[in-house]
Amino acid sequence: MRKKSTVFMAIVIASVVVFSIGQVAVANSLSTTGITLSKIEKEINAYSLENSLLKEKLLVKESLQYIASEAATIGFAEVKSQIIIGSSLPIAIKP
Amino acid sequence: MTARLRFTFIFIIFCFFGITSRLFYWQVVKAEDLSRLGQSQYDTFIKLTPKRGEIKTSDRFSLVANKVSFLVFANPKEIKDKKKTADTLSSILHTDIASVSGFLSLDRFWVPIKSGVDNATKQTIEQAKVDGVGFEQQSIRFYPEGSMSAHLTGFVGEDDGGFKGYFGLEGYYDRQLRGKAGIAVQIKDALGRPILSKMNDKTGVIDGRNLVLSIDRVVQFTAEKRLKDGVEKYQAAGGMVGIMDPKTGNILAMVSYPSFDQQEFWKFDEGLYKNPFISNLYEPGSTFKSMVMAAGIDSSVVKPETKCPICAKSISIGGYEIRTWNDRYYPNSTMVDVIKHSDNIGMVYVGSQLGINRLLSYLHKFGIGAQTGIDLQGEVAQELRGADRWYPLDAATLTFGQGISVTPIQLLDAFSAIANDGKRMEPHVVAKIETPDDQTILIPPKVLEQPISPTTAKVMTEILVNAVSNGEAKWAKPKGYRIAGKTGTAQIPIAGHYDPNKTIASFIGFAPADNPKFAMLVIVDRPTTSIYGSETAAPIFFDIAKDLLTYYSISPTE
Repeated sequence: MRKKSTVFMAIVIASVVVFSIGQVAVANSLSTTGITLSKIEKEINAYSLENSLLKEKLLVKESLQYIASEAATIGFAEVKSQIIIGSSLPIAIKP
Repeated sequence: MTARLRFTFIFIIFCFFGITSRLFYWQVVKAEDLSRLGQSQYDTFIKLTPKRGEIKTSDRFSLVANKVSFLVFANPKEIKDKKKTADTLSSILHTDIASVSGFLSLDRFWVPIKSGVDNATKQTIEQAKVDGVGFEQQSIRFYPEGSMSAHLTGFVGEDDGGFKGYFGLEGYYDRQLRGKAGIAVQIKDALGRPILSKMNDKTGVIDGRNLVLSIDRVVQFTAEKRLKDGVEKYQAAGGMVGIMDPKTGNILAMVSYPSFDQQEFWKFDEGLYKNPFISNLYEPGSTFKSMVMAAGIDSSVVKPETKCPICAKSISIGGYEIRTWNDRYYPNSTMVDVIKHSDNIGMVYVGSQLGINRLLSYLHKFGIGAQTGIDLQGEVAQELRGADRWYPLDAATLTFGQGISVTPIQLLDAFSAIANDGKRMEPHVVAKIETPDDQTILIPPKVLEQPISPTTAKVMTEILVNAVSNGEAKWAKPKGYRIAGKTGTAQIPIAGHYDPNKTIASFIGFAPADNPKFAMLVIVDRPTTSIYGSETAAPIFFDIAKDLLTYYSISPTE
């Protein structure tokens, strides 16, 4: 009986010690996630900013104002005259 | 128990109650205060500004987008050498050194230095390694097409409540574009680092909705270029072009010149902000004859072949003499000829057959005297006065578009009914609205009225095609196409009389006549090389029409 209670006490104390160490370990690993989180957020913000800046550049390049000015620079000219092809004569004319 | 033991016992009991009551005080009485204090120490509330919606053309190109910019701020308490910092910042930011020094001399932890700073400038400041300076990311409006469509889009300005849209689409759709601000709660540790357990609890933020317009970017660009060239060529004070799909009311292009730059709107005269196509009233002149003649034919008081019995000479009404624009008279003109020659006397005849009551009734159905309901901020209209308030002379001049004021959009909308089987559509610029959660709200076409029958519309179309093919503007018409249209040369009323040398020249029309793809109104304000619509507005109209017929791949039919 006394031996059983001693074993029981030993198990309880051992459990307490193990769980305490476990809690400390988990809390310790969680405590630095804030730093990781901060780094991830910074990276997201940096990529987001880069995307926005690239989108702005793309919009300018796609604009008709830019295309027209570049076209003029490389020698495209406005078509001043148009050729209108009238309707063709019928192949066979009914007498 | 001895006295000492008893004393010790009482002392311990006393201490016990003392500690318990103190604990009660801090944990129960002061619980709420301490909780709030704790929260303020480790909770951070971040106001989340929603992203303002974009404005896109029909091909989904962002006519108005958002651009990243930065607010440069400083913490004066962290800056050791304020003079050096002010020198550096003012030279990089191109601001007055006195104002920067003023900010840095304040006894605060945070002072704004300059907003709207671009990324390149921000990087220059970072490279300069200036102590006590930080950046807050912001968003400002960005116009990839430059100042194209400035009157259409309007601009965003700052007032007490934050950023707000003014004029045009930004003003009309401000609530849709603005979105809703929210709050993010983030818990941080003692060193200010975020804790995983309760991060970025974003509440309530809703980004603004995007607008997709019916505006065709190519058509808008073409119209702007042609109008600018035309205004310079004819040495005019300004000009306007409006292009609409008569079958749906979709506005394909709307241009006014001179214009302003939305990005730096404060540098321009405030008078330029409003869109004259919807906000300026003018006397339309001969372009108005189309509606009056349509009313006459629709009510059967005249037919196309009806001969005008009074067209042989000028007429006198109320002591005033009414003449034709060129003092040429065509006895026994038909109604077709009256429009072809833009004969004021012929129009007075049509008006007399209609009577003022019936004429006003038709004009109401054409939308004259009321706003069209276009979805742009700033539309005006001048009410048509009652029939009993029209003197005979006023009723006569009304028939040829003088003595009445309309906005260009009213005129274009009314005229477009002729191109659409007699049905007048509500003009609109926005075709659909896109929500942040990817839903699309379509703006369907809306029929406002049927002022004339489809038969009358067809007859009027042929009369207007004849006017273009055989009238005074026939030299500018592109070959091979049937285009319906009417010139207008309206004198400008100044101090109770009309200035003979200043006019508002215009041309209104639609093409192709048999299946109209577009209706267009061109207005040239006070041209000086020639005062006539046939020699200024008409060439601009036909230049744009040629471009559009090619763009839409419409083959000639003649």
